Amino acid sequence: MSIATHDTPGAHSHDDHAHGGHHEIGFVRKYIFSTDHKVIGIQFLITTMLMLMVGGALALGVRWQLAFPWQWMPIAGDLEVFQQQGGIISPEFYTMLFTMHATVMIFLVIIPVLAGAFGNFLIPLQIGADDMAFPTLNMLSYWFMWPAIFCFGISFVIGGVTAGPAAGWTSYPVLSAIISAAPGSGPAQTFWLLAVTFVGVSSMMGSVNYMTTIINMRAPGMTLFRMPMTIWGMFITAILQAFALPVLTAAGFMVLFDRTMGTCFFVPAGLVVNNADPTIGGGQPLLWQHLFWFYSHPAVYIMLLPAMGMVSDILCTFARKPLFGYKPMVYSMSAIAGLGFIVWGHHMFTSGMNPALGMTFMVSTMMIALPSAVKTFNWIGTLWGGHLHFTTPMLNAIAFVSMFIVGGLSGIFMAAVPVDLYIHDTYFIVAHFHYVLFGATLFGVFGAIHFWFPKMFGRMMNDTVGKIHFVLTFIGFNGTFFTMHLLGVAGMPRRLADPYNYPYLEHLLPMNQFMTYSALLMGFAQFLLLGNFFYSMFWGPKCGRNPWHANGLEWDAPSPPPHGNFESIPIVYRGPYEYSSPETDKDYLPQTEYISPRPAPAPSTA
Amino acid sequence: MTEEHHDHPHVNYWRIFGYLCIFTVASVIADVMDIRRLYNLTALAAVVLLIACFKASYVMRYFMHLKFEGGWKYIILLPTTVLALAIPFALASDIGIHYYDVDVPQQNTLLEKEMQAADESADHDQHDHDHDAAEDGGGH
Amino acid sequence: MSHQSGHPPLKMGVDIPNGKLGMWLFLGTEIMFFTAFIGSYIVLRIGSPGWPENAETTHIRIWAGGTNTFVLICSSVAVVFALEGMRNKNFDAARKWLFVTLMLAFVFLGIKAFEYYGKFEHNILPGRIPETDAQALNFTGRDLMAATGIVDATEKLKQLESQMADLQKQGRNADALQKQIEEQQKVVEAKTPAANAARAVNDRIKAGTIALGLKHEHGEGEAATETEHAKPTAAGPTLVEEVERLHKEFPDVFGSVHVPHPIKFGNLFASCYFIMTGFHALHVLVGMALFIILLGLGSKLSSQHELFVENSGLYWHFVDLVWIFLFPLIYII
Ligand code: HEM
Ligand SMILES: [Cu+2]
Repeated sequence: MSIATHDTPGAHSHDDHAHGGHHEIGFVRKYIFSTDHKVIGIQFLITTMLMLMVGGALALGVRWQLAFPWQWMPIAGDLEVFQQQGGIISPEFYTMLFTMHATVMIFLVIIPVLAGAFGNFLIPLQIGADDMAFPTLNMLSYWFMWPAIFCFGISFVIGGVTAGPAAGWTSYPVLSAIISAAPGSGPAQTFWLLAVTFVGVSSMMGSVNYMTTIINMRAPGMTLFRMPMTIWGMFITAILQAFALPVLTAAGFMVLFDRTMGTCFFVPAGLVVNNADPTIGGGQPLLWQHLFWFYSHPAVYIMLLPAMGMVSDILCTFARKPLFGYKPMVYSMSAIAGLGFIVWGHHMFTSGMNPALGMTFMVSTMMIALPSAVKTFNWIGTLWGGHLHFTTPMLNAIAFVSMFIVGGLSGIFMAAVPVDLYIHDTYFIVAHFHYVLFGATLFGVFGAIHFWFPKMFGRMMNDTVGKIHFVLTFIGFNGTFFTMHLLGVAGMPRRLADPYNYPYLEHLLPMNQFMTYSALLMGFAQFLLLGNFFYSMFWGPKCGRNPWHANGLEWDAPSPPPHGNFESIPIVYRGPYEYSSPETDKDYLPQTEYISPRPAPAPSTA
Repeated sequence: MTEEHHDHPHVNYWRIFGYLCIFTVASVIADVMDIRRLYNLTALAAVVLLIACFKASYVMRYFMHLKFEGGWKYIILLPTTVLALAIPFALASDIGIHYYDVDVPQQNTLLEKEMQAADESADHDQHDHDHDAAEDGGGH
Repeated sequence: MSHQSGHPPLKMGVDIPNGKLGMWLFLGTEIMFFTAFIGSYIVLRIGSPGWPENAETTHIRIWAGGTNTFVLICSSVAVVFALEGMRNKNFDAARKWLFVTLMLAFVFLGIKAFEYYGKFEHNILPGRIPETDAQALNFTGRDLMAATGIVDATEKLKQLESQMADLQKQGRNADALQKQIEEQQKVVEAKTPAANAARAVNDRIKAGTIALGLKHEHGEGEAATETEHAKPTAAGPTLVEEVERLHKEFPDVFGSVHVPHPIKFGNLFASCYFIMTGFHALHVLVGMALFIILLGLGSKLSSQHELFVENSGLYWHFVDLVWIFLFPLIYII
């Protein structure tokens, strides 16, 4: 698989290998079926970056149709398979496109890049462990991604370009539970569900591993409140994943059996779909929505909390200031996680759910904005009066904060039932979740890539290219997604292949075209990132252990760290954010540095 | 790991076994006594689920040695228990009560057609019968 | 919090091995996994008034569930003694108890298999249970037609004939095919009388002029009320009588066709029953695999496997715990 060869450079500059004192292991064990958390992390990272391009291409397909409906597709239109449709995007294909775009981005990019790539790479390094608690399980969790990718791939191609998984990433029954509901999607939707199960197993293995590692393998002195926010983010994410994901896996099995074995958990009685026989059953479609969102709302925080953590680290490093309110940050993160379990119903306001529940969920959803706001103000407080260094990671981190504010605010709009009744399933929703998922999480990930790249490969990425990539992406992003708020308020529904069928939406075409151009700009900007990444991997300037003068334990290890990470067990004396401390002349104070004489300040918080 | 990890307190496992058996028999008796008839289903459910909780607590405390573990057991098990209870409780208020009607409109039209067909060739009784059948199909 | 001065303790975290901590966390995820099934069952059941509760209808056997509960409790004790053996370095005893556990697991699965067999026998399977009289009529009609096999036979005959036509067009020798066709014609002819009888019944079902006519075999209970209004309402024999007649006339053909009892919410019941017990049985199998690995070590079993035994034990107790809740939920309530 392509991954294997791409990974090779991951450790090609293992010049400090001598420290580890490990006997040489073969190529395959070292780079492919490796149990080293860093290699696995980089495998995840590269896989997800490739998947990002795939998902992006699918999104551009969607955008093409919305800007130039029923027109011949550039590039793909020439392909053999599209000839029957005359090289255009058919409504069925459009449905497949947005279903698979969301699927790929959520299950194969955002979740694995945060937990899989950065979780793997950073957890042992930042807590001062030599590896994960269960290295083999860790390797398996990566390799379980491949059956998932494979099954998603099959589901996309098996029915040709006119039939495929077409129930959206939310896969609501009865569309997903009755085979005849989406003609031709029989095996495709089934494979899709299988793939989700594989992703679930992979994530479950990962999360048990992370929790055990973080609880039990911290270096001496690394108390809970000396952990970097990244670790807190990963830890809370792992908890969310461990307790929410099994519910989705179970529900996935239920809908799978509804499709294939005649069970009827989600199939009501007597439904006639596509002139097939009336269904027998007595199940309840809404049950799926409950189970699905019981997972998927916590999942949106799974897709955010690690990025919040990483961004906190980056902001402090480049503001040369301690994190503003460390403990409130930890508590608000926990509060988000806790509340995250009791707000799932805000996705179901219009579903016909018990109105009493709608009220409850509205209140709890409004409440979750509080800890989110605490975090935002703390980030701003961190920046306030700092010595800001506008490096690429810093720019991306600041974009994270500002875009999260926009996305969080639109979230509060939708949390109000009366407002949501109007904007549910419009482009307003699409704008909301792209602001939080792309605007926040993905910018955070871009920042993290630039920030920890030197640790991964011992080389620096090009800062100028990084900045150009940032600016183009930022402009393209806002051009694409800010406009969606306006479309939403104008009433344009999501998931509609040809909105211009409806006269009241006709005037939105130029706006959609503008968005598509912005999206194209954004899409092409990503090649800069890929180019910069792979070029720097081989030819970037070499760097030392601590190019950013940061405090975390990971900067204490060689770059790249050998198998086993640290030369000797690091001992931790303080929290990770002691920048510009009066105790020393440098403007940073690594967690491992021991200063004896002076009286101790309160640890970690500042 | 080292075998002297904890000083394992001695538990008389057979005694626990005895309790578990007694509890099992008790729940079977609850079934045979037909509490469902005497009171109602809820009472039966409460009794047997309570018994199940007792059994579970014995298995967890003694067989799984939780009684002798440190405070971490609460950190892992309490949130899990809360979440596990939250699902049925929250869903019961929607799926369980379901104040709305799950009748599928198409089904009603089908049944109406069936009824009409039956009406044409039937007497008064016939009509009643199909009417009942229609209610059955509703799946309330 | 500890102060900056002074050196921190070497070991952070909780005082149990990683493996055990990981196992407990994993069990936490497992709890949520089963919660989804059990929770769905509970709420679906609360939301479905008229859920089949009569053991005669559902073929739920409390003695089977009860025995299995007992078997699992015994196996839990056995696995605890196996761990005790490991800790006392009495590996022979440990092996013995592991073996007992494994055997009890087999017994459990045996009883489970017997129960499943009963369900299959009575067609208590998701998607196969009629829930209303109308569905019972339709299902029987469909089964009657299927039993005759007429559709397949005619289909095959048609195929052969079209092949024949092709060959004749090409002017080729078609004697062999001709023979086949004649044979097939005989087959169809043989099936025709039964098929006509079945069709006649089906016509009445379609026209709505036949009643189900099931008697209250099982006496009292909810199931009985289901069929109460199935008194002979239409003129002529009921479906049950018709099927009995067909049994007599064509015993070879229709011998396996029975008029099913409609069970309201039967399919949902069967769905829940099978998914809960099925995934539980799957977990039993995984536990057995763990014990087989340990037993496979033979005399190599030693102190280094103590953690493995402990973790397998924890897992097995969890399997027992799930059953402790499934037993009242499925078999009693
Ligand atoms: C201030 C916090 C937030 C609030 C109050 C909030 C509120 C909401 C509400 C009410 C909806 C449902 C809208 C509808 O379908 O009618 C929604 C949808 C969504 N939210 Fe948020 N949200 C917040 C933060 C986030 C974050 C941080 C993420 C992800 C990182 C996120 C991801 C999503 C996604 C993906 C959807 C759409 C799911 C779909 O229907 O496909 N939200 N949000
Ligand atoms: Cu949500």
